[in-house]
Amino acid sequence: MTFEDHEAIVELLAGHVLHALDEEEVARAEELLASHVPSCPECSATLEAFRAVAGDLGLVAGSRRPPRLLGLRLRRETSSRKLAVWLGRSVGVTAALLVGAVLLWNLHLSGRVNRAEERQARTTEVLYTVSHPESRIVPFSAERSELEAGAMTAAFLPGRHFLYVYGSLPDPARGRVYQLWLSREGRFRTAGTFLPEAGWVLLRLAVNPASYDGVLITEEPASGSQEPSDRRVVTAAF
Amino acid sequence: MRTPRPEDARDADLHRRLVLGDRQAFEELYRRYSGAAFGLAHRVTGHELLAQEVVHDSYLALWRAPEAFDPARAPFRTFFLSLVHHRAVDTVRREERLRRRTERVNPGPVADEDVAEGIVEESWLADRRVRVRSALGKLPAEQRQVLDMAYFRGRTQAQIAAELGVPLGTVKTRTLTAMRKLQRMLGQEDHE
Repeated sequence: MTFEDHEAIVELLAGHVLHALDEEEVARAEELLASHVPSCPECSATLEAFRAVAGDLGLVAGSRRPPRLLGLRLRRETSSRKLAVWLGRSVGVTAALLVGAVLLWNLHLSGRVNRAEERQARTTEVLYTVSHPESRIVPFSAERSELEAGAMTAAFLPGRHFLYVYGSLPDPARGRVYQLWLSREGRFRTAGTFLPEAGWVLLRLAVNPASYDGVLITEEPASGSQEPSDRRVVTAAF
Repeated sequence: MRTPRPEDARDADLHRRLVLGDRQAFEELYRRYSGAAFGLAHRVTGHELLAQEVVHDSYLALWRAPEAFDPARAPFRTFFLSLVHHRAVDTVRREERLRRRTERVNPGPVADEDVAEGIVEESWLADRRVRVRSALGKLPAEQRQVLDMAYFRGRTQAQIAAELGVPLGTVKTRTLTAMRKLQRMLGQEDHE
């Protein structure tokens, strides 16, 4: 390949990284990117350097405040996507005991729908909640260093008497369970105990979230506890 | 091999967490780059709502397919702003009719500064911006003009040639020369 050929190629690459080529040239550039460039160290290096310049040119425009709603919208949508992945992986939702106002999904829907329909209903309802413009989505803070950041989330719609708690948790120690607590002004009320299924958790609580100021999950003996122990796992403040 | 700058290493770490589905890493990348991304999208589209869509779609694409970024090839910043730029230009071309109906605002690079209250732009990003602007300012006017028309106005090189009344080859030559000069100037600063 001659020097002139290379010059023609890098000229095309310059237009390519600026996204300024016409349709025919785009096809030519794509052909070169697939054939010549990977095997030519000089062209590869030039392409990477031009890409870096093109990325830096973006800074010239200056910073501009995006609308607050854009961040909120993305937060909801990314939450929905992660939840959809979880629901897709999860075989079901597990909660070992039912205490007080906790209403387990399976129980809530039992006798009305089969398992596949139940999963569909569950998915639809939670996705509806977390993607609703007025929904409140509250990530739990991990109280243990080994937990993934943002592992658990609470979500609810103001004015609706349901609170969803979902995410991923490892299995508790042998012979122990997780226990969910609702807090108000420093006092805790148990909402039930549960075990993750294949690492996934999805709970629906039939409570008015406005009556509480937060949620806590602790690890407790299999029979549950009357008061939360100091084995805190995750916590969220509304 | 060059040692990555601390801010690039930080971005690479956030990206690694993002690949694992870490939403906090995503939010941190939003905090770090949404101001620059929105500024760029607004400059290219000249339209508030279109710019919002561009930034929204870019971040969502990042969330859905974080593997598209290869940290071995480039800093995250250049990858992501290129992604935003491509989407902005595509949007401009798609919405050409709308743009003609809307009075286009193509604000100057400095007057448009509006760093978000909640989006705290870090000093290194602002420093980099100053360096890139300085390098751009050192280019001859005719080279700066073709870059501006291509990059910020979404024109193809053929459209630029037609608008300026110069041969297409001239536009290509000016573009290539400008890119090489910028590469040299910014590359030198990277090594300082």
